[in-house]
Amino acid sequence: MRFSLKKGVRFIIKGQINILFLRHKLNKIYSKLCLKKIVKKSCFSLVEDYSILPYLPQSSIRLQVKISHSKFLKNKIKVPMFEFLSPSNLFVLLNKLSKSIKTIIIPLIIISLVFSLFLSPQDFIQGNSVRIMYVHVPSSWIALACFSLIGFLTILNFLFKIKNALIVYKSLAPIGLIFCLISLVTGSIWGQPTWGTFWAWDARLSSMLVLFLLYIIFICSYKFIKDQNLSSKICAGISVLGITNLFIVKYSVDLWSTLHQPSSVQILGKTSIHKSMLLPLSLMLLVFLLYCALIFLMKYRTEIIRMKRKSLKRL
Amino acid sequence: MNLNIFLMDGYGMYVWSAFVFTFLVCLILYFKTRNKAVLARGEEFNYITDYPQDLYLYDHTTKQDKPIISYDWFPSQLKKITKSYNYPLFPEDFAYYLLNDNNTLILVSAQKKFYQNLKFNIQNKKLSLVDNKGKLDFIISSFARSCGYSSLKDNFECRLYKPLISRNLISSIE
Repeated sequence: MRFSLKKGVRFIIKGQINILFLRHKLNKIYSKLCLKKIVKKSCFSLVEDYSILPYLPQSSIRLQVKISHSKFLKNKIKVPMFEFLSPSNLFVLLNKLSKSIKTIIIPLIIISLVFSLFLSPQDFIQGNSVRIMYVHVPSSWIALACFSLIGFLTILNFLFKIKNALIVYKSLAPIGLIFCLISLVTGSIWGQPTWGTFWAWDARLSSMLVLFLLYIIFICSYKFIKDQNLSSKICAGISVLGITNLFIVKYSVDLWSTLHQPSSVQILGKTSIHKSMLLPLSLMLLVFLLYCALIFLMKYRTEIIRMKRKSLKRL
Repeated sequence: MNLNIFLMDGYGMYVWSAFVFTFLVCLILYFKTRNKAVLARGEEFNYITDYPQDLYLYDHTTKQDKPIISYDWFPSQLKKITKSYNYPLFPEDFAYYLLNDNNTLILVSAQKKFYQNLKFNIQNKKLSLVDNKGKLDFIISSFARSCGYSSLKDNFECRLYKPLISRNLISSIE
């Protein structure tokens, strides 16, 4: 028996079946689709007259449902497009990734610490205080990169209501905040022996402090505002401000005369830093990136579970 | 031992404090995130493996739970006792109400075509029909209300209790 509910949504049913049993099965399938976020519209129960049709999504989802009347518990639901990204598969993948990061991160931390604290040479002018650079610079890069990504995802979520973008930016924001804090604190510690002061209101430092405050406001806005629409609007607004601030952070040392030195490592231009210092810097950056990935995976997983719980409660 | 490796020509205080601060903050974030992830893992376990959820009974004295209505046996058991109704019924097709004796669970059908209600004896694990053609001799409200004075000094207060209802109840729109 074959019948089509709507263009693009096809249920293939084998074996003898009664309408109530079918209705029950469709209810189950639809509920599962809702929980797995495959069906993005509001979840409704299927009814006998199939009035659910208007609620089914426009996107093409092919379902193959094998139902045997006597063995109804052995149903197989195949959703090829989404099978790989189904929650159970995704959780297995996230777990594997987390475990592999955990195994490589500790030896890498030790190697990078040995290089940055003992093996790398002193600076000609700054002496041993230059070693602070190995934690200060990568953390600043990560703080800036995180906010760029958050800004992009927030705007994407605001325009297209992509739930996944929401989960990603919620998982990224605390990481960015922590690295921004590290950047500010290590920077001020470095400032004391280099400039003779912990803090100066110069353009780079002030714009970095603004970024830190924006991170805090951003996190508060999605944590404490219950209304999802309002929260995403505020987040989008903060993101726009933050992205503007990112340009100020980046070009502050070139546009204004500041205490802070211009950037030594350039992606497109010439890097002025020596290779013996670039190696520990790159190693520390790798460690920080792996740490970010680990925290992100853990947070991402937690956020997915929270969202699923909300869906389950809605049923 | 060359102490200058650690003192770093007087810059040691700054360098070590910067490194210690960085790794300390990272560790705090890691452990906080891990705690949340561990707590959530339990929630995920419930979601993935228990759906569709069976009905569990939680004993406050022993602090243990045991399944009372199971998805495996319920439809077949029900089919045996309801001869007039051939369609399969599932645990979520019913709302559950626990009576005062703490032993009788009344299952009220959420399927309009299935006029009968069920009774489940928790101790004996026996499922039977409530033989009154779908009518119950007690009133089911969505909330149970208990009003009164808890002591002479207190004001008159009403408390609302929510009866036991299956979380997975999918009510049909007919």
